[in-house]
Amino acid sequence: MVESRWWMEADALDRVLDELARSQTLIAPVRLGAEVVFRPVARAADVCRDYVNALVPPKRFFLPTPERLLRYHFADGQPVLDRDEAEAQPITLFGVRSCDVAGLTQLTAFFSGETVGQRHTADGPFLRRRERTTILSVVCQKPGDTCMCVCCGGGPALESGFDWQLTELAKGWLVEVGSVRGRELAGHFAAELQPARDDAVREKAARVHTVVEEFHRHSALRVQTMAAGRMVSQGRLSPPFWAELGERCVECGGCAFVCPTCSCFNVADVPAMGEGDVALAAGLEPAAPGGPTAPPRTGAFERVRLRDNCVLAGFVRQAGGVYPRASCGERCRTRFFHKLSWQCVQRAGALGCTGCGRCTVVCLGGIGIDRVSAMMTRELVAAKEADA
Amino acid sequence: MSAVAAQPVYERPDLWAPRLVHVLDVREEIAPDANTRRVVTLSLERGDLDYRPGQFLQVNVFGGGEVPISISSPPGLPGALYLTVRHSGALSGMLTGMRPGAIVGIRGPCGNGFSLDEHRGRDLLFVAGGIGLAPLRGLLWQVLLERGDFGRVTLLHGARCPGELLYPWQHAEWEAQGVEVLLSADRGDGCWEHQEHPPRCVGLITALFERAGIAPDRTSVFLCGPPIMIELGGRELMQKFGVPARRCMTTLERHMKCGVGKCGHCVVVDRYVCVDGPVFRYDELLALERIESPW
Repeated sequence: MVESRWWMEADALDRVLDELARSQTLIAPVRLGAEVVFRPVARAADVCRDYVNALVPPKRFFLPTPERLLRYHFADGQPVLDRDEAEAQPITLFGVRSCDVAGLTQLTAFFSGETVGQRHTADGPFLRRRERTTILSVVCQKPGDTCMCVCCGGGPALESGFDWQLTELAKGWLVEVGSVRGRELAGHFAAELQPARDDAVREKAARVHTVVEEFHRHSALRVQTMAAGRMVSQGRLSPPFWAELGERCVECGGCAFVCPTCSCFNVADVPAMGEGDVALAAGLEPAAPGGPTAPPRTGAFERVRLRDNCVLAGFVRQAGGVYPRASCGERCRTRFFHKLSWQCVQRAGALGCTGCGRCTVVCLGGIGIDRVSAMMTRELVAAKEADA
Repeated sequence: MSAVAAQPVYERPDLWAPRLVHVLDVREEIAPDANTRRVVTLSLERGDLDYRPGQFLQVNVFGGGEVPISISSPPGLPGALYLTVRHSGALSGMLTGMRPGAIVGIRGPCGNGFSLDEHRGRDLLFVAGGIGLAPLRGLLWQVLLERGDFGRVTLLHGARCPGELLYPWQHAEWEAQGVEVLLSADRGDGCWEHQEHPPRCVGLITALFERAGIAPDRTSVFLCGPPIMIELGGRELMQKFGVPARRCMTTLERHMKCGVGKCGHCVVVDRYVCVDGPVFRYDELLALERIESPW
C-alpha cells in the first residue's frame, strides 16, 4: 500500500538518478535502435524518457539464465560441494512499468513458496536478487498499441509492489512510497522531496483516469478476462479449439520468455567453465541405444537453471516414454489455463496475465493473449446461442 | 508485497544443496533382458532424515543431474533408505549402475506422501502395476510395522510378464504377516501361470479385483502404476465394486526438475505434482480431468 506521497521538482529526478548511478548499479530503460531495453546506466542523461515499455521485461535481472544453483568438483573420484559466494550488490531498477511490477509481485510470491503454500521452499537465488533491488516504477501515460493492463489489473498505476511509484505531472513528479525500503530512500533524498499537496494527488488521479478512458475508447485489443476465464476454467473449450491453437503455434517459446509472470525453468549439470573436462562432458551424452553411461569421476561442475517453457515439446516428456501433453495444442491449453483460469487466480492471488501485450507482439502464429481470449469469448457466445 | 521485499525471512539455505550419502548396498531386482530394463534397489545412508511413505527424493548423480525417485522403504526402518530405480533414461541408467560405496546426493523428502492415520481400523487394498509397487512398498511395510491398527491387508500386483513382478522375494514374508498377495501378468511364460502360490492369473490386474473380496464400505485403496492402470483400475473399483473415490489414493509421476514447486514441469492443471502430490485422491483427479487428463 502507498504509505506516503511526495512532490519532486522536474529537474530533481536527474539528480536522484545520478546519485543512484554513482552509489550503486542503476538499471534503466535505454534506447537501442527502434526498441527500448533495460541496461545499467552511468548517468541520468543516458536514461530514455520517452518510451512505452521495454522489449523484454526486467525479470531477467531476477531470473538470469543460466544461473548457478550449485557447484561441485570431484576429488579422488568423489564429489565435493563447493561453497558459493552469493553476490549481494544493491541495484536500483528505474522506469519499470506497472505491468512488470505486477508481474514481479507475482514472481516474488511464487518463488517465496507462498503461492503453493510452501514457505519453507523459498528460493534463495531469486529472493536474494529481489531483496537487493529497489524498484522505482513510472506510471504510463501513453499506452502502446498492444497494451492491455487496464483489463488485467496490471496498471496503468498500482497500489503496491514498488518502492517508489513516480508519476510525471505538468510541473514535476509525484512520488508514492510503497515500502520500508522506499521510505528509507525518501529519507536519503529528503532534500529533493516535499510533502505532496492535494492538487498533485488529484492531478495524478485525473491523468490515470484519462489513460483508462482513452484505452476503453480507442484500444483495439482486449484480454477478455471474464469470458475467457469462464471458458478455460470450466474446461468448456473443445479439443479442436486447442488443436487449432496448436497448429498456429510455432513453438518458439517467445510468449513465455517475454511474459512478466512466466518463470518455468530447466536444471542441468554442466562442466564448470574453464575447469571442466570437455571430453567427459561429451561422455555424458547417453550412448543410445547401448546401456548407461557412467558418471564422471573428475572435473568441476555447476548445476545451472535455464529458462524453459511449457509450450516446448520436451517440457513434460518423461524418461521411459510417458508423454503427458504430447500435442502442441495440449501444451497451449496449459499455457492459457495458467494465464486466464480462475483456479490459477485463486492460487496466485492475481491473473497470470498483467496485460503487457508482449506476447501479442512476439507471437509469429498470431495467438497472443488478446487473440486467444477473443477466440474463447466467441466460443462462449456460440455455446450460449446453441443453448438458446 | 513491499513488506516481503523488506523482510528477508524466506531463505532456506539447503533448498538447492543436496546432502551427500553413501550407497550402502545395491540389489538387482529385475535383470535386463530383451524386453525389460534393469531394476535395482539402492540402499542409502538415512542419517536423521524423516519422511512419510509416498514421498520422494531428488537424487543427484554428480556430473549427471537430478532425478526424482520414490522412497520404497518405511519411515519406521532405521539406518537405511531404499530406492527402487528402473533404468528408463540416462540418469536412472547411471543410478542403476551404482556400486556400494559410491556417493550420491539427495534433496528432500519432497511431496505430500500418504497419510496413514485416516485409514486406521480399515481394510487396505494395495493395487500396484509394475514398478508402481515401489512407492507403495514403503507404505505397505509401514502398515506391517503397525499391523494391529489395520484390518485385512491385500496386495494385488500385476506386471507385463512374470519376470517384471517386483519384490517376489518379499511375498512370503508379507504373507506371513497376514497380507493376502494376488498376482497377475499380462502374459505368462509357460511356467509361472502353472504355479499355485501366491494365487495368480494371466490377464490385466483388474481381473484380480473379483478375487480380492472387496468390502467397499471399509476398504481404502492405494493405487499406483502406469497411467492407464490408474485410470481404468480406479474407474472399475468405483463403478463395479462401489469403492468411494475419496477412499482411493493414487500417486502420479511426472517429469520434474526442482521437486519444490518452482520449475513448472510437473504441473497438472493448477496442481504441482511435486508439492501438492504425488499422492492424490481419486476424486481430486476426476475433478482435474475436466480440464486435462491427469492419467
